[in-house]
Amino acid sequence: MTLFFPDINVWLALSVSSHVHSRDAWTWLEALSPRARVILSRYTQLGLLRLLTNQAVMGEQVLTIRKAWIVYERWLKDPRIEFEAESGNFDTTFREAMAPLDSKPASKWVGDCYLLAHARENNAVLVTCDRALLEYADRHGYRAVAPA
Amino acid sequence: MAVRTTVDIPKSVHDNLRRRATRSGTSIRALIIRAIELTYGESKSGDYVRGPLVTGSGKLGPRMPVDENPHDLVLS
Repeated sequence: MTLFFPDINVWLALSVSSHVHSRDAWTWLEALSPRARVILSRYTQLGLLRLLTNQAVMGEQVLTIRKAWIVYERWLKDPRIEFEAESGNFDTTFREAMAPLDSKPASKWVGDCYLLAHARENNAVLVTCDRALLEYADRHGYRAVAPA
Repeated sequence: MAVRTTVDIPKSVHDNLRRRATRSGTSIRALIIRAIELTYGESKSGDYVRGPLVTGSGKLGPRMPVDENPHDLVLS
């Protein structure tokens, strides 16, 4: 069984029809094998809820918190989707993901490295539209793909 | 919540687990939990989501991300 771990933006693209990558994200999801599973983490859960309820992001389609939870819970009812909590060893993996950036003031990468670490902890493939993150993953031995 | 448990397993199985964990960049613990869930976990029944769940036609906001994850918005 293959596990996939979409990042926050991919969850947004899967959830919102007018997201620029919605079609690509759905093409990717629908093409998964029946045995594939798609996982959420606490961070991607938080990100999806935060962005769906953020006026600056969703504009005229902004959701209330209640409606954002309905979207999230609907995803969890899908047999392909599972929530995976962090393991007790997560900090070590997180720290390893950020090690190549130790000498840089790279705040954006803190979140991205969390995503890479969570993917690795679960032996999952990270799914992201972020080209820089894909390149970082490739350079440092993480499995990552772009939805298409 | 996690529960600590101790089991004795054959050394050859443990060696195999350690090799697999090293090869795949994960932990023995994660491999064991995954195997148990696959073997004994309750199968999840439910409806597949077949399309986007937010289908409005209203204008999206200026901070709608294109490629990158907007970590600043998530953590602000």
